[in-house]
Amino acid sequence: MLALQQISIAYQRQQVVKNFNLNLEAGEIGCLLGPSGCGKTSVLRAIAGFEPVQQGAISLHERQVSGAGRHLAPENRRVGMVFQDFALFPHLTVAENIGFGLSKWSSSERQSRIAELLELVELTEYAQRYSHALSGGQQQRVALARAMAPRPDILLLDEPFSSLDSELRESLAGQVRAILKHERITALMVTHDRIEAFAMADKLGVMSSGRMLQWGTPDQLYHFPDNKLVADFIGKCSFLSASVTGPESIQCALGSVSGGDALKAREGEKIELMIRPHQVRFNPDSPYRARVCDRVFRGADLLYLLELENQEQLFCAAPVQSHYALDKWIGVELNLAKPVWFPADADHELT
Amino acid sequence: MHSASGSSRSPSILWRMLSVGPALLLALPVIVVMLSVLQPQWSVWTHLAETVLWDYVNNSLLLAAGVGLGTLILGTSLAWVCHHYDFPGRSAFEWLLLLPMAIPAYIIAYCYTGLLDFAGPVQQTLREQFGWSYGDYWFPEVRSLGGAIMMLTLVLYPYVFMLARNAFRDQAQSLLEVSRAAGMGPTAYFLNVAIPLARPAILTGVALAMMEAFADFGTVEYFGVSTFTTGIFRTWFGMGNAQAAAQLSALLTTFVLLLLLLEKASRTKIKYYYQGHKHQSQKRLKPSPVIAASLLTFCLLTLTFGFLIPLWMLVNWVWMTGTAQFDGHFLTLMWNSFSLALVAALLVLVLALVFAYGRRLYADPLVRLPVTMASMGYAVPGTVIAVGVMLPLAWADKSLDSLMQSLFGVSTGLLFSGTVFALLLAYAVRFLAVSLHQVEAGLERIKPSMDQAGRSLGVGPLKSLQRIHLPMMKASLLSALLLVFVDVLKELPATLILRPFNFDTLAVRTYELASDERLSDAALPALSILVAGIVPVILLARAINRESH
Repeated sequence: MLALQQISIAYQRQQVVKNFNLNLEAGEIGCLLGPSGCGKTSVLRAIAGFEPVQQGAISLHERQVSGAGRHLAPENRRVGMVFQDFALFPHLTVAENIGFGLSKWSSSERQSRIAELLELVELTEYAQRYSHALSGGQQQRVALARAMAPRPDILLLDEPFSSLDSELRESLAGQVRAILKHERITALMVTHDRIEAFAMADKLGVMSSGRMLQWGTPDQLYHFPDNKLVADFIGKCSFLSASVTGPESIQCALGSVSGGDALKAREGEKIELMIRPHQVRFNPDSPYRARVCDRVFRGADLLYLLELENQEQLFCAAPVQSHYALDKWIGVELNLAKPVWFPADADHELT
Repeated sequence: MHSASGSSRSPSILWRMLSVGPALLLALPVIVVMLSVLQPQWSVWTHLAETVLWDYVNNSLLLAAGVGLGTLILGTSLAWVCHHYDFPGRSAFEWLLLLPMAIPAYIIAYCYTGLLDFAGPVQQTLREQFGWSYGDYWFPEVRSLGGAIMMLTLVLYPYVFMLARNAFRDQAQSLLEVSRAAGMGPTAYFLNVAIPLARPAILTGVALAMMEAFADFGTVEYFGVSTFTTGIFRTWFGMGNAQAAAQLSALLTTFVLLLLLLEKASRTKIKYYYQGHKHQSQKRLKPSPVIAASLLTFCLLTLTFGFLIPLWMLVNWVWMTGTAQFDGHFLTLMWNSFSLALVAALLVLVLALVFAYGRRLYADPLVRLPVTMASMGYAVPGTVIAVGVMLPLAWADKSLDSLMQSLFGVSTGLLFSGTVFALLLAYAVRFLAVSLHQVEAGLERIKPSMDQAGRSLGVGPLKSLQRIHLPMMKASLLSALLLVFVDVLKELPATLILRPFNFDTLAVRTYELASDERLSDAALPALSILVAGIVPVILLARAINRESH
């Protein structure tokens, strides 16, 4: 449905996106995640037609909209966009804002479409208000309804929740996902907040320095990241230095772990083992000891920072009932079903 | 985030020509004046230096300094009173105290001369009460440098008042509380926090008032105080030396530009005065009844001297001279003034639109620089602009005329310099900044994302101009039109110098009648200017009111 092939984007002489690929199926919600300045917004703006591409091609429904010598004007792309600052028209009411892109529709069609959307975003009683009289969350929903009104082929969302307070973000992200799924809309969102990304996305991509690091389901990216950058960006984790000791076994400071067949022919090599906080368990009987360096109450669990005997540190998420004092030495063990590891010098490849 | 236009990154040739061409034309008068120093007229300069030049320099500097000090004290204290204290009538004074802005300085000068000179009601009453006659008593002479400083201060303090009050209002309640917690009393807070934070805004207001003082022609001419502006006028018309007038203009412009630079420097050093985010505004202090009464009296006295007395004088004069003045001649005067002001305001608006969109679409120094230069004309005195407009236009007329004579044997006469064209050019130079400021403020509210939202909703660039820009800009366009309209109506020196033969306006007629000592006859055109001048003040007051809610 949406296909980006090898696109590059530059401002003046500065390349911000390089050889970028992306495919999105009809009805899917995709999400680009990355730190600010990684080029994710530029990708979105190129799809919308606000930026030309230097190389590569963008196609929507098999129709090329951007490419070598071709640039379809934004108004002819059938692309809806929700802006970071919402960009609601202050001189129009909520209903008029939603109907802005429907000027070519017949009056009755337009009215029924506006009514339908007002109901969908639960703002029917606010139809005649002006946007400045609405709360941030309500403005956000008007912006969404306005972008969806002309039934665009694809909906683009640029950091749509970033101007809202954090509590509202998560609940609104869930609502927006429900609305998009209800209307069966293909959408691509850009954000730097992984909680938002998890709440919204069917497919998730992590970007860095204008490149796509990995594209997959949120579950895939969380449990099987392709590299340390993705691993780190997608959730809290620690890395333990380890070495490959046999065809299927890895030795680290917390004992040996059995790995997959990918380890073949890497015997003796130094690697780094990714450990998510929930993959570390307290066990008084374990021969491996760790010292409690820090402890943070997180409501559902406690997050410990532990230091091993070889001074390596790692995070551990434990039930709230566990109550180990600072500086206390306790037994710990790993609980890895499928270990994820990276070559020890992986840092250099990426930066 | 990136260029505002997105899709069109290279400036189109058409827009460039559209904005650079007129911008250069508008910058031309000041350039001509400044370049005139390259041909020094030594004989005239020696003569001037021996006779009046030091008077010009001294009086202009003293006038500007006096007005600067006067507006600083009056404007800042009124602003603090209205910001910090809660007394009866406070919210009304917030806009009532802006009203003196509606009166041009030369008109308030006529009013006070009528009130205070020997034949005026004040001295007459004194003589009757005490049985004095001429020479028996001392009375301050209003027609003096001191008098001019008073007159200008009375109508120019609102600049400082307005800017200082906005700056005080931007200071958060938490700032006051933190200072109080650190052991500062209200006076210490005022001196150590409020004033330093508001300083850039206050200085901007003072600099504006001083520029107006440098530019003043009507008041000092009427009071017989020799300043640069009257000197330029006399050198041009009395001595017939255009080059020397241009060189005097260059000297005056240098003073003004120096002031402008000083003001800019004082602002760039301190950028923290406006914090931008929303905060709780400061609570007002409830003073004791005695203090409240004296604050009220202070505000009331300022309003009385700055607005009510001149208004009362004018109304009284008009009442005395009766309806005889509302004749065909007065109607012609009104028609001339209003049509000229409207045409000028429309022209300036169109230019401002071209420049503002040029600057929005193309972040290109080639487009920006000439426009920035052209919008500096507001700092240049009207007399100087008139000289700068006259010289190149007279040259163009002469060249065209001799060309046409030699080619076809017809004389084209004064095609540019003797017609309304010269006036319109001068107004455009002087008032472009006023219009541009309004248009850009309106345009700023249309964020680039709104343009993009329109386009992603299937609305092309032309349609979005009609459906997004026009409705959102309506108020700004209207106030740009109105502000320039009234400024043109009030403008005196450039109109006086550049008007076509036998073409009178309200301002010119007021000046001529007052110069002939026919003050009561001058009252009707003067009152018309004043009434028109109130409209933008009300507009301003409403805009400020809206901001503070």
